[in-house]
Amino acid sequence: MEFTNETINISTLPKFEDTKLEPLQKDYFKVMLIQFGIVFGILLIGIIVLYFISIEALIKDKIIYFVIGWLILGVVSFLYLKINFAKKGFALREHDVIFKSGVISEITTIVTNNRVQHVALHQGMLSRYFGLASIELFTAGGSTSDLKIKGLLLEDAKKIKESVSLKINEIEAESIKEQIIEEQIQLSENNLKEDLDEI
Amino acid sequence: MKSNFDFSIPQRQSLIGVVVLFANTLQKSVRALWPFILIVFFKKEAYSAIQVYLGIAGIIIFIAIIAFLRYWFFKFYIDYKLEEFVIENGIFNKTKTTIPFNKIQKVTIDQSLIQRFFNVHKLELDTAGSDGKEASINAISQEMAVELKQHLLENTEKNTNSVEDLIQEEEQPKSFITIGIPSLLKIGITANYIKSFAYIFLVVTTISDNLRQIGRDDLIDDNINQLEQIPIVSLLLGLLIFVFTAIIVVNLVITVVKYFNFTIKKDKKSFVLTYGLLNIKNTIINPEKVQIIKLTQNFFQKKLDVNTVEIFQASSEMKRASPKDKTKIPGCNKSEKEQILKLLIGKLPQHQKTLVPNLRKLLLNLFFLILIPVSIGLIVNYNIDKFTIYELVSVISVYILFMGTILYFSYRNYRLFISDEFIVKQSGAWDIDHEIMMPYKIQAIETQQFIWQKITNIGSVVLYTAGGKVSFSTSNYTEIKEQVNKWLYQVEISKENWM
Repeated sequence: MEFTNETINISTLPKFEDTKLEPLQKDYFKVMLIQFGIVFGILLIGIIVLYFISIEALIKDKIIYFVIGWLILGVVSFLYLKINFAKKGFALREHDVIFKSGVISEITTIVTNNRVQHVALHQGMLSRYFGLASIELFTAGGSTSDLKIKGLLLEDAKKIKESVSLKINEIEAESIKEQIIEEQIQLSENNLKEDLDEI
Repeated sequence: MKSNFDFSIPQRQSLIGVVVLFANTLQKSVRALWPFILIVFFKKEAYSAIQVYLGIAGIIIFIAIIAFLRYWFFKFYIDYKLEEFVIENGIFNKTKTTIPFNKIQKVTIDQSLIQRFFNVHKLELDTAGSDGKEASINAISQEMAVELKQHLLENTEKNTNSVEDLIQEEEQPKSFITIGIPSLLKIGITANYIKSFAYIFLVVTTISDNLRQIGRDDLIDDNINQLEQIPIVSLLLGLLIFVFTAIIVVNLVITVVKYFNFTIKKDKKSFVLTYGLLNIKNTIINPEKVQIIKLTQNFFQKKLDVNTVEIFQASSEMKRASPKDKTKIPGCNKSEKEQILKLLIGKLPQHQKTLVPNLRKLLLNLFFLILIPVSIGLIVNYNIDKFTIYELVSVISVYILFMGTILYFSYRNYRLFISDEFIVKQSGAWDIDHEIMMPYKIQAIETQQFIWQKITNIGSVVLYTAGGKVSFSTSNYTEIKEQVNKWLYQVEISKENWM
C-alpha cells in the first residue's frame, strides 16, 4: 500500500459549522402542535373537573390562579416549541450527517457514514397522516451518540436510509475484500514456507 | 505421541482436587454467609464448647460432601467422532457443555496459590465468539493437563487453516512484563483511598447493624461510653489515625490479593494478562479493539514511579460500549508504561496543539461549589443559630481552602493535547488522568454551546468511541470547531479498522 503522511492543512478543510442546514418539514410543526394541544387540553380538563368536584370553597376561590398558571405555561411552552422547531436543522454531506438542535444549549451531532452500524426508519401515527418519518443512525458509540432526525418527508427519509445503507455495504464489501486478500497472502506465504521446508 | 490417558472415555479430575474444590466451596460459603456467622458468634446465649465444635464439624463435613459430589459428577472427555470437547457437571442440575474443536482459540494452564500447594493445575479453554471463558477444569495433574492440551490443539489444527497460529500457540508465549510485589505495595499505599474508605464504612455499618439486630448493641454502647471519657482532641486524632491505617491496610490487602503476580504475555497479535492470588484471572487484550487508554498518577505515585493503566476495549458481541470491557493494569513504572503504550498504539503520544479551558470554568465552579454552599450554610446558621461565629469561620475557611485548592488544580490540569495521530485529555486535581485516544476510532462527534456562551465564544465537545466517550468543555469554540473539522476528515478518509 502506498503510504503518505502529509500534514493536514486545517484551514482548507470543509467546515461543518458553515454547512447550510435544512429545516424540518413545516408539517412536523403541526404534529408537534397537536401533541402540545392534547397535553394542555388534558390539563385544562383536569382543572375544570377539579372545579366541579371540589367541595371546599378554598379551591373554588383559587381556581382562577390555576387557569392563569395554565395560560402562562401554555404560552411559554408554545414559544419554546416554536423556537425549538426553528432551531432544528440537518444536513447531509458527502461523508457525514449533521444534526443541530437546542434552544438554550445548542448541540450539533455529527455522524460519519463509515461509522454507521445500521439505520432505522420510524413512523408514528400522526406522522403517517402527514406523510412524515424519522430516521435514526446507530453507531458503536453508545445510545447517547445515536443521531435521530424527526420530521422528514417519508421519501427523503427513505433516500437517506438508502444512501447511508449503501455506504455501509460498500465499506463492508471493501473490508471483506481486504480480508480475502490478506488471507490469500498468508496462504501463499505458508505455501512458500512449506516449499522451503521441503527443500 | 505416547498417551497415558484415554480422553475418549469420561475422566474425573485428580482425587487431590477434592481438597481444592473443598477450599473453593468453603471460601464461597464464608463469603456468602459471613453476617450469619457473626451473629452466631456474638449471640447472647452462650453455647457449650461441644455444641460449637459439633456445629463446626457438621458444617465442614457438609461442605466436604458437597465438594466430593462436585468432584464425582465432574467429568470431561473428547468426542473424537463429533470433534468436540465435552464437560459434564452438576450434582442435581446436570450441565453438559460441548465445545467444538474449531471454536477453541486458546488453551491455558494455570495455578492459583491453593492449586500450587496441592500440585494440581487449572485448564481453561477460550472460545471464539464470546469474551468469557466457556470451560475450565479446576484441578488436574500436570501430566494430564499438558496431554489434554496437546490433544485439543492437535485436533484443532486439523480443523483450521491457520496452521501458523497454532504453531505459535505451542511455543510458550514470552512474558514481557511482570508487576512485582513492591509496585503493588506502592499502589496500595497511594491509591483508592475513597474506595477503601467506602468499603470499611460498609463493613462497619453491616457489623453494627447485625449486632443491633441480635440485641447486642450493648457491645457498641459500651465502647462508645469508654470512648467518651477520652478528651475530644485526642479522640479525633486517634480516630483519624485509626481510619487512615485501616484504609491503607485494606488497600494493601485488596491490591495484593487481586493483582498478585500480574504478568503480561504477548500472544500473536493480542496480549494476555494473568493475575490474582486466590482466583487467577485471564484477560485478553486485542490492540485493534482498544478504544481509550487511561493513565492515572498522583503526586505520591509520581515520586514512587508507579502508574495505573486502564484499557477500554470495544465490546465484541454487541459492538457497543460497556464498562465490562475495562481492564486495569496496576503499578507499572515509567518504562513499563511506555512499553505497554507502544504495544497498544505503536508509539508514545506527542502533542502539537493544546486546548485550554476558559477562566470562566474556574469561576463557574467557584461559584457553584464554594459561594453557593457557603451562603446557604450562613443563611441556615443565621436562622437556627447553632454555631458560634468562631466555629463557623474556622469551618468555612477550612472548606474554602480545601475546595479552592481542588478546583484550582483541576482547572490548571484540564487540558486537551492534540496531534495528528492522538487526542489526549488531561484532567483531575489529585489523581491526574490522561485519556488517550486516536482520531480514527471516533464514532460520533457532538459540539455544544449555551446561547450566552456565543458572546464569549466558548463551547464544548464530546468525542464518542466504542469504548466510552471523552469530553472537553468551556474552551475556545473556534478552535474546537477547527479540530472537529480535522477529526471528521481523519475519520472519513480512514481505512483503518477501528475494532
